[in-house]
Amino acid sequence: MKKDKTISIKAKLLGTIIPVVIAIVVVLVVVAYQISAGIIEDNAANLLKTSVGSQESKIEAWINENLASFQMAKKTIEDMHADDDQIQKILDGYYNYSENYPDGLYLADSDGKILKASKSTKEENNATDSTWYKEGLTRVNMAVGTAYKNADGENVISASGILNDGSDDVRVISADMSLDRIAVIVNSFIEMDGAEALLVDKNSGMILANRDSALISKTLGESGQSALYRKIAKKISQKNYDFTTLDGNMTVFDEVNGTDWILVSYIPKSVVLSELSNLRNIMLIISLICILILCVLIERMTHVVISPVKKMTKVITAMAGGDFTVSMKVKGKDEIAVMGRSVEQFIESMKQMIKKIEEVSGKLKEQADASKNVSGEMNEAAGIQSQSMGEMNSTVDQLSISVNEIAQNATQLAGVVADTKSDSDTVENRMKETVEVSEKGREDMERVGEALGNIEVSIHNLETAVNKVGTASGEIVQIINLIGEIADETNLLSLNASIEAARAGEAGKGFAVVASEIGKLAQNSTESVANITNLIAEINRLVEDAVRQAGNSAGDISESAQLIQTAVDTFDTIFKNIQDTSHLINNVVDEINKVDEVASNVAAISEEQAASSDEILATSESMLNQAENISKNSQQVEEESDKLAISADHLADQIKQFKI
Amino acid sequence: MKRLISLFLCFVLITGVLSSCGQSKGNDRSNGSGIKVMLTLSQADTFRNTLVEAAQKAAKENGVQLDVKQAESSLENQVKQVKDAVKEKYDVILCALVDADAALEIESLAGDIPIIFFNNCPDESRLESGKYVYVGSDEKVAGKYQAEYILDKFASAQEINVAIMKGPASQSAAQSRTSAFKDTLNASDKKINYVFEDRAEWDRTKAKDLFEIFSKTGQKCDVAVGNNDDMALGVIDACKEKGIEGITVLGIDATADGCTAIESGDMAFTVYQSASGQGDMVIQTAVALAKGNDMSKLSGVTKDQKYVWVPFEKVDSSNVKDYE
Repeated sequence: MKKDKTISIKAKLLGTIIPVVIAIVVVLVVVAYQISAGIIEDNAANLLKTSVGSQESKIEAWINENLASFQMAKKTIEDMHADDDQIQKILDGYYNYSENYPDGLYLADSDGKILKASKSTKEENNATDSTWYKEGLTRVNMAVGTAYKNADGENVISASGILNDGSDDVRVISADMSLDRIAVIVNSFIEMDGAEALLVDKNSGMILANRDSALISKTLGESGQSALYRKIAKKISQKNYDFTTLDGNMTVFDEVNGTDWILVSYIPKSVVLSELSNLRNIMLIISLICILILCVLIERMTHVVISPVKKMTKVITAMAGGDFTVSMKVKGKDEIAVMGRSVEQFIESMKQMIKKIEEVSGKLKEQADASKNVSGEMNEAAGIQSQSMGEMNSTVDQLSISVNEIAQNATQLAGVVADTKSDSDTVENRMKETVEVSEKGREDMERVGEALGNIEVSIHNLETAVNKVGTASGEIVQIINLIGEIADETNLLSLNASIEAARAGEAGKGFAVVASEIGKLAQNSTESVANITNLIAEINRLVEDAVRQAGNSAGDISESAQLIQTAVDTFDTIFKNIQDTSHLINNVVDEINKVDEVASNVAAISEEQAASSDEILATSESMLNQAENISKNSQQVEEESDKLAISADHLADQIKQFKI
Repeated sequence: MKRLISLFLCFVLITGVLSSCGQSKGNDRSNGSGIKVMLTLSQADTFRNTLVEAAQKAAKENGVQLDVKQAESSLENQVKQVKDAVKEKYDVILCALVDADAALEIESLAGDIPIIFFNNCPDESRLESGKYVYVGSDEKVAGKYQAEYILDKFASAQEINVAIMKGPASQSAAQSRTSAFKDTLNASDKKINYVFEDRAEWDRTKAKDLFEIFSKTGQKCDVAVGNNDDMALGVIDACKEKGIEGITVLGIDATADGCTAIESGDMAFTVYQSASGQGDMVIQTAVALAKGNDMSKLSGVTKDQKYVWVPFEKVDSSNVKDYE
């Protein structure tokens, strides 16, 4: 069995579940953190706002409390219309009355004359130029003004106002509060842990109160201060007092009622969120622990769930190797237990099945051996049979050859007889032709005799005709002689005429020419007569020859006619002989026809016999083939039963591999 | 992939749970008809009466049922009226607070009923968009208008001496008007000397007394400004009595006396707070709230939808006749 890289179910389960669990936990932590951060920031902002509001109210209350005290003193003085001594007493009474204004109250008139508590260390060189005096002139009800440095170099804020005692003198009553004192008060009112506060005069931008006393009375946003302070200064100068986050600090602005002061409180976001980061850390630790517990839990659970599967895997692996001696013992009622029990059942049924197969294979082997023996015997028998069939076949073969030869000979005989018959037929025909030819020859001879008779007559006719020509040519000669005489006379006449013409002289000249011409004509006619006379003499000689010749031919022809008569007689004799011969030949032909019939019958019968012997041969050959096939088949059976025996052996071996 | 899907499902689940929390009930009324509104008035005076009359007129036009209750300056009365409104199932309460600090008490008594405050503005922290709204005029604008008038009138001057008569320190209107006035002046390039600044508690006589005391100091004064007309008139009284002249006096509210003073030339400028405009606007806002908290279509509503501002109007000799 090939060793594949197997991934266990446990690894798969852990590999799937744990990343998902981690992802979910991370998402939960992140979402929870974001929501918490939002809530905490909102809460912190609200808390800071409330804190500042409350701080502002406390500052306001503190100021109002002090102002109320001042107002009370002022009112007392006003209502009493007190003189300087009485005022002095009152002022003395306020000295060291409160830590907030240890020097108590003091007065200054328009001449710069100051009335103060006897023990007061307050020094003022030029009261009417002082900040508190000038500010005091702008109001009747005492109110706090802007911060300034007093003659002692101390940063103070004065509450001052016009003393309205009904007199026409203008006097200003005032009391000093140190900025350090205000700073302590402002900072002691901070409610929120980690928050810082500063008090700023919105008109001058001066820092009135701050935890860092070095910054008090400095202008906010001066160089050297933190970026946060510069940003706060900018916001104040823009009169934008909304809640905002500056430089990582949540910042709240609040105007202090009845003053030009602005209370600024800020808290670094990191401080606000520090608890949140704790929360986040706790959440992370808890989620980490949760994940670890989950991992262990899942690992254990899968282990417990999977252990029967592992056992089962072992059993199945053993089964795959052929070992069925293994067994499974399972507890429980879950699917895996059911599976285990089923495997157990499977092993049992497999064991039984293999046992049965073993038995069957044993039996099979026996049967294979038996069939092998049987097939061997059968093979032998088939061999013998095949041999016998072979022998029989050759015998039939020889028989067949003999019969065929007889048939052939009979056929040849029939052929010869047939040929003879046709020859005799030819002879008969020839005889008939010969008779016809000899008859025709005789007729021809007779016709030649007749022709010779006709020729004799014709020659006689010719003799007569030639004799008539001789007569006609004698008459022509007489006529020509006559013409000759006329020509001579004409010639004489022309001579006479020419003599007469010559005598006539010139007048007969024309007539002389005609006379000469007639003379010439007469001469020509004489010449022609001479020529014709010659020609007729010739013709006479030729006709005499022809008559002599015709007489000769007639004699020859008579002799030929006698010869032909002799030939016709000969022909008759020949004709008779031939007719006798023809009769004889006809008789011979009849006999030959009878022999032909007999020979044909013999040939047909012997051919039938040959065909039958061929069939016998074919049958015996197919029988031989079948015998051979039987032999082959029985050999194959033997081979197969050999193989079967081998297979049965293999099967037995295979089954031996299973352990049951 | 499976992880991504499970993450996605987690987000869907979480967002689904979170979003299902924020469902609000809708209100299907198409116009003002059928809306029951109760108005509780701190104390009757000319201004408030004008306001209530305008509100009644607007209610009639919109088909709103408006019942007006007088608290007669008693917080107890006002509290009782609010409790009755809850019993009688009013849709909206219109409230001119007897005491601005009592807003929280009134709100908690009203329960789910939205409240429209007017005339007396509670602290901003008490207001909530769509539920607790203030209808009024932005006091800062009044102070700004005064300062702008002065800067315009004294455009050529380098230095302006200003006296201020303020309302009570506890009143937001007085503070807002003063601070906006001063901020606007301070923002100019002129030197502003605040030669006098004290509380005359809205009172004409007190203002007269204070100005008389101030006059004793012999300081120069170009402009006297009152947080209201009465205090400005007090300054005028003092001037007349002491024979002081050449002081420009400004007020706020455009009261009958104020307008008369402008007509006679004693007072230079005042700012009219539109009582009828506010009366009309409280009803419009009430309808909007009753219909489903959508205030965005109202004119003058602030971004945070806590305030609905009815504009101030400038009044001087040129247009004073329109306000008498």
